[in-house]
Amino acid sequence: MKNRDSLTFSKPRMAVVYALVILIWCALFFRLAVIQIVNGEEYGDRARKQSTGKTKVKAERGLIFDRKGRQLAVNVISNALYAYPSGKKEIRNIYRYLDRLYNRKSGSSQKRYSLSPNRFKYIDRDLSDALAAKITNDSIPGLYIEKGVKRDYPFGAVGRQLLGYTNIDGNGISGLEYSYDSVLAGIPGLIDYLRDAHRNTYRIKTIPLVRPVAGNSIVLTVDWYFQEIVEDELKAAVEKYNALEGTAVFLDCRTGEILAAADYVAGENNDAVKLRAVSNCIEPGSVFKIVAASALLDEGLVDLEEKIYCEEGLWRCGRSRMRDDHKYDSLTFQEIIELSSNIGTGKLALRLGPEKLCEAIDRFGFGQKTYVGLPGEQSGYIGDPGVWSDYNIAALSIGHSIAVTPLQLSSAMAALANGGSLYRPILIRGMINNEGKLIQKSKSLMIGRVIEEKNAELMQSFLAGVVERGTGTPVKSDIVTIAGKTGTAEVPDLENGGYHKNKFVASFLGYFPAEKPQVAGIVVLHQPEPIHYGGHTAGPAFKNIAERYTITNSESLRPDTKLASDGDNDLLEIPDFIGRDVSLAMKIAAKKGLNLVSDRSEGVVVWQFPPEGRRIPGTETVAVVVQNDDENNEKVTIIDMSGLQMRTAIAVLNYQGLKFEIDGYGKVKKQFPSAGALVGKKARCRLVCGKV
Amino acid sequence: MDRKLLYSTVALIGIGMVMVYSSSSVMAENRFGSHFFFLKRQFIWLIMAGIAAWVVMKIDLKKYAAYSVPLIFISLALLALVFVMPARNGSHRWLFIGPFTIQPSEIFKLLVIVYLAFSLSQKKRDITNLKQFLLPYVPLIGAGLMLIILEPGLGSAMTITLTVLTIFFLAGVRLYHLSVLTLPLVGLVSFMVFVLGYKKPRVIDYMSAISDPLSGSYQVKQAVLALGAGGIFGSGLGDGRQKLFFLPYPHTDFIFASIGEEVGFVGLTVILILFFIIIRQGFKIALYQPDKFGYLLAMGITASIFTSVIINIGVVTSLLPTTGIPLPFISYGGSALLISVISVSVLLNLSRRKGVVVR
Repeated sequence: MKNRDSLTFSKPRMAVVYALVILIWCALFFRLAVIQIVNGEEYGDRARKQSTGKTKVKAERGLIFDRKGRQLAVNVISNALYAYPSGKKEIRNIYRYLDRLYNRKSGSSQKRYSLSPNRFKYIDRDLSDALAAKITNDSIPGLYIEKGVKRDYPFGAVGRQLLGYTNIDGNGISGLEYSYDSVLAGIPGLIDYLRDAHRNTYRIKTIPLVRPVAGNSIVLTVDWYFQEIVEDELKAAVEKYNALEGTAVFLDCRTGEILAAADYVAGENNDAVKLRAVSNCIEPGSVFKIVAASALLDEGLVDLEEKIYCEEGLWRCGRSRMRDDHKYDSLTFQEIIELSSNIGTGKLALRLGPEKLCEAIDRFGFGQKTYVGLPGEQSGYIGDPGVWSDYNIAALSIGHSIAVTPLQLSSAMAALANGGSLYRPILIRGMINNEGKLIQKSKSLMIGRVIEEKNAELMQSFLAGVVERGTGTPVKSDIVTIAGKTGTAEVPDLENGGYHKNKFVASFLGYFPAEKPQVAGIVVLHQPEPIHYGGHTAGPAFKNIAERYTITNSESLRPDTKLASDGDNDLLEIPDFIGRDVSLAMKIAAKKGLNLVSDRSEGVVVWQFPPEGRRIPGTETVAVVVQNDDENNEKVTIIDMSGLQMRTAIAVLNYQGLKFEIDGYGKVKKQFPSAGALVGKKARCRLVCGKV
Repeated sequence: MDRKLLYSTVALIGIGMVMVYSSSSVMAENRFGSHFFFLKRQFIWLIMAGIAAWVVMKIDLKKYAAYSVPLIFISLALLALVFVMPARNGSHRWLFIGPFTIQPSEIFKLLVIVYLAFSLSQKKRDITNLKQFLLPYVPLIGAGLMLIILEPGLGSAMTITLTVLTIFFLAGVRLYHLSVLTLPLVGLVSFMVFVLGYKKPRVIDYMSAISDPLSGSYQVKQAVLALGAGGIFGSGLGDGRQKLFFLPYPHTDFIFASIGEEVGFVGLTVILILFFIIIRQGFKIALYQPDKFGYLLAMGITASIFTSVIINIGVVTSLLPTTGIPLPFISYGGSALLISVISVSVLLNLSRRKGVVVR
């Protein structure tokens, strides 16, 4: 079969090949249909599963409000700067840029961050808005801004020992942020994202698979304006009396609600992570005499007419001695309390014996935690009554050899002030969900009766006497009647045993107004010098606090029904006006949308209220005072106070050193003398306040 | 000139460029810092292929066909040369010349077709004589195939073998002679696998993977998942997820799976139809050839395109054991693109010969 150069190919063989082609082609179609259509759904699910990752998204953290609905802890937008360079060239570029941005030596960014290609790294997790805007504008390849949420505290340092902190990830790490973290944090949501086989994340979906549930907000019993007053006065007292530190706690004696709780440590950054009022114990000293005295009255072991011999200031009790600062011959029970005789109290306490004294201490709540909801609370320490000697009993009755917290003392005093009912101190008024609905309201809880009502009244009259004519006379106020007990305890010498002879804890434990008790509290100063009497150091601080409270809260302290704030959301931050010309200050204020009032129209601002950094609603007014160029510095100009918040007006008048009286509360409606008047420092001002 | 063939080829190359970019951009960015790394290179190769195609279209193929004899020895040398080149992905398939890589097996494939068409169409050649059939071809092509198998490039070897057998079959080799050549090979392979147990588990895995593709090798499993994820209409161009390092070689050997994920069964049908048009036109061109040379050349090239396509798709759809072979016109890879474009231009050249009527 020789082939010619013509069409000599085999048609049948070609047909066979062509048939094979068509057969195979059909097989391929069939196979694809099986994979893509019949099994497509199953395979597709498998494929999507392996390229889908799931990640948690944080829920919005709940807010913290004070009892009047002021926002204490809020969430604001934050900027985080991160690097995600795609190559070596970008990295070099980023290093150079960061060195310039932070004004650092060239090469220092390289050491600091050590970036590598396609690796995510945070550069700065809390960037200022201005810097973030600049970086966004410069748009450096590989450098990105991530918007997030961070915690912000509009009142700055005020009450931070109570509120505590969150870390950079938004988890509470101290204070209420820590102890109520589970309430505030909410439930995280779930977001799925695209990822590759190397577990790199690509696109994060904007619509979450499971929506996060925002955290609940908590409403505190604390009144933040009062908290500020307490902190202010505590700081002033610590500085004035050269104390190492001070603590103050105030609560509503009818409900146990804590109204303010503050610490101040001299010369230290006061962003402390704990509240000493609950976490530190003290030996209370004479303020503790109220416990033994109440027990003596309830047990009927003391006759009010009876004169007790006070041993002329030195009493031998067993092998030990007890002294009084002032020598007394004989005193009545009331005088013993008013003059704070250690010997008198100690001798009477022996009539109680260890069991009854111990029972009384228990009843008043000492030695037990209050579970007020702050981290690190101490229970205090009471010894074993079975081994107490007479001297031990006497010492205990005057507040030595026992450890208590300032909060326990305040709460005990609150019980005496309200007629004998001990309430559990509470810090949380309620919780509201993210729709603003009240989901839980704390009820004040009466723990028990510490003293019979008629004896409580008796104790109240003694405590009023302490201020009227006893050791607490410096506490006497024209504005509000104060009752209470002074304390000057020796500081235990932990190295050598016994007590330091020249180191004291000065305190005043009291309540006001004496005739209709509302607020009970304590001011404690550690080691004031050279004056160390509680009545002369902690006492005046207590008095100032009581007076300022009364002026700003002439409304009765009934529990508010409205919890959340309304319209306080647009808060304006107050700039620093001090050192600026008034006209410039006015311009700055106008630009910010703030109202500004000044005593004069020319000169340099030397003082402002509220201070820099504070946030206030736009409806409030900032007051500034201009440098007084009056030669003798004797006359001051009355500022235009109409429409001013009462506390702002009081702050101005205090700064100017003017005496004043106030009718009503709220905003200033009328003032005498009128605005612009030049008055001497002895002038008295009168303000009429009300709802404007 | 055969316009159907031309347009189908251009359409497939266009689809290929888009899909090479879509399936390689993430990897290119990740590895080389540029989305376009692979696309750019493929484009440069396409330009070179276009120039080569233009030249091939102009010349009288029959006049130059004799050069295939020395050229096939040179290509055998190149096939040997790959073994001194560094390995990539564990195999010696490539020659590295500057920034470009060349696969000598692709060159060998085209030259074998041209050589066989030239040689078998010689008047003195009596193809029905076993001696004349076995002696010149088996040692020459066998040497090339051995080198390719050693690379290892089993896929290419399979393509060439099937193409060569098709040419022999169509050239009129007796079926008895063909079975003398093939049956011992089939017997030897079966003996090695099933009696000696050489790579037996892999073969068994492959057999089970035909019925359940997900039980197969990682690559095939990912390819089938990609196809399944595409479903009927696909996830959308550029929206494939399997190319995010799940699917190996998403832009080369497994690009068919990448495409299947993004354009679905509908899109793959279009591609399969385009391929079928090319093959059908190849048959038509062969049918009208005035001489045996043109006939065998056209059928050889058609067979090589056909076998490449079915082996590639067979692997991706878990019908054939895993072996690396590019999808003609579409897969990223310079020499494969160059050779397949030249192959089509040979067909186009043949379609312009006297007496050829193609519709």
